[in-house]
Amino acid sequence: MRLERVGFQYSSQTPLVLENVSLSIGIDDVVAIVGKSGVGKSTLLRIVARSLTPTTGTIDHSSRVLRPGAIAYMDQTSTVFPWKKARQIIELSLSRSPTGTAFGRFEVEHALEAFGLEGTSEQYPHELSGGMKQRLALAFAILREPALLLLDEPFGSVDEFTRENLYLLLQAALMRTTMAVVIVTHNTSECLTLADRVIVLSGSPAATVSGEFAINEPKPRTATMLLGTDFIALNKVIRQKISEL
Amino acid sequence: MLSAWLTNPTDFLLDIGISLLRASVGLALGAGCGVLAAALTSSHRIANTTFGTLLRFLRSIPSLALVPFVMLALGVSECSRSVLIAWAAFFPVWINAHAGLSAVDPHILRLGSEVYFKPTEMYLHVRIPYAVPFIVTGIRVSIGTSLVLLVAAEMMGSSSGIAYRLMFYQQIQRLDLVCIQIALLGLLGLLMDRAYVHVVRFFCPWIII
Repeated sequence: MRLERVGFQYSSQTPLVLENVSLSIGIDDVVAIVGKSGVGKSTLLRIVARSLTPTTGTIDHSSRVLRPGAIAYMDQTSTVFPWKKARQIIELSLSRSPTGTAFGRFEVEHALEAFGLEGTSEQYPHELSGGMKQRLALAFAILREPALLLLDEPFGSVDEFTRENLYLLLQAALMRTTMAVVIVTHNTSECLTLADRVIVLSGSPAATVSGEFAINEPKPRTATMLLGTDFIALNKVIRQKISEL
Repeated sequence: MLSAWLTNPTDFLLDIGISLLRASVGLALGAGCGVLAAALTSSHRIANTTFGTLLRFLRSIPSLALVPFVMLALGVSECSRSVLIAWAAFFPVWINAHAGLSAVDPHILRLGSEVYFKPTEMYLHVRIPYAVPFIVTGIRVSIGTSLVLLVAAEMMGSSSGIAYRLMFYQQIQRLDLVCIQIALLGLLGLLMDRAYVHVVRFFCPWIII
């Protein structure tokens, strides 16, 4: 999909939130959008999700993201259906996969295991820990194989170790399937771990794309890899770019 | 107090049983109607402004004021007692169910649309389950309000039940037995509440109650 000179304001009485934002997302791109709090990252994500219509500019959606259920959205609230057991949530997600592959108890257990949720099939979300809830929400979003996965600061509410574990789970899941991912975050380490491209959003009052960085390091990337000189240098540049404007 | 119980245990048990039955029937009737009314008032803005406004008007009438009206309109019967108890149970359930059905968490609605639920599926698999904890709370509140009307209904022309016996013992000036009946009413409310909590935990284990 491609956004061309997109601008947005919530109403004619309020100032522009976004101005002249152009970006393209390939079918298996992992794009991270970073920027200061309140700059308009989540607004941009909602435009990509088609929940908001841009005030100016155009969006070309690929036919892949126009089919029903093609877009999955996840934020840090890790909301899933509280009245369904983990097994039922996984079953619902698998049943909506476009490949339509038949699944049984074994596939459900295997999927739970792949997301580190073994032994939780008969548990309700409220019986799971914060990290497990995030993994369940991630499994629900990924197993139905959306064309576009949108993550709005998805791991902001979990501790550092759980977050690193979730990074590995997400990277492993993305290796098994083809989907475009857009991650909104203010955590530069997160975007360096997960993304192929980092887009810096900044500007006041209206934000625009102020920088774009490609990350060509191999995946899966671990927390240790981020200690390498290349990553440290890139992290520094991105952070400078974010705080520049 | 113990001697009163020992002299006539059958009457005590019978009164508890009859009052429990009346409260349960009225509660079930009121709760059922409350959920149906909430389904209607939450379905459309026009339904909420018309039917919802009528219900809000009726709710503002103190329910005890309806006792003479119902007794005259329906006669002194089990039917009129059930209607009065149902009336008291109706409003807490309706208000809570309406809140649950009309203010579903947008995150949950989004999940429903992401797995492309049809409108009927969205109602059955998202809206109703989301409203269940609200309905559960409404019914729990109704247990208390229905007991108020149970007492009023049994005091008017009844020949059985805890509140009837309460009035009877007041007339023969037996303060000790009046105290027992009051305690029994408290016990009835407590038993109904505990039983209800167990039923909810069994059928809806995902609800924290």
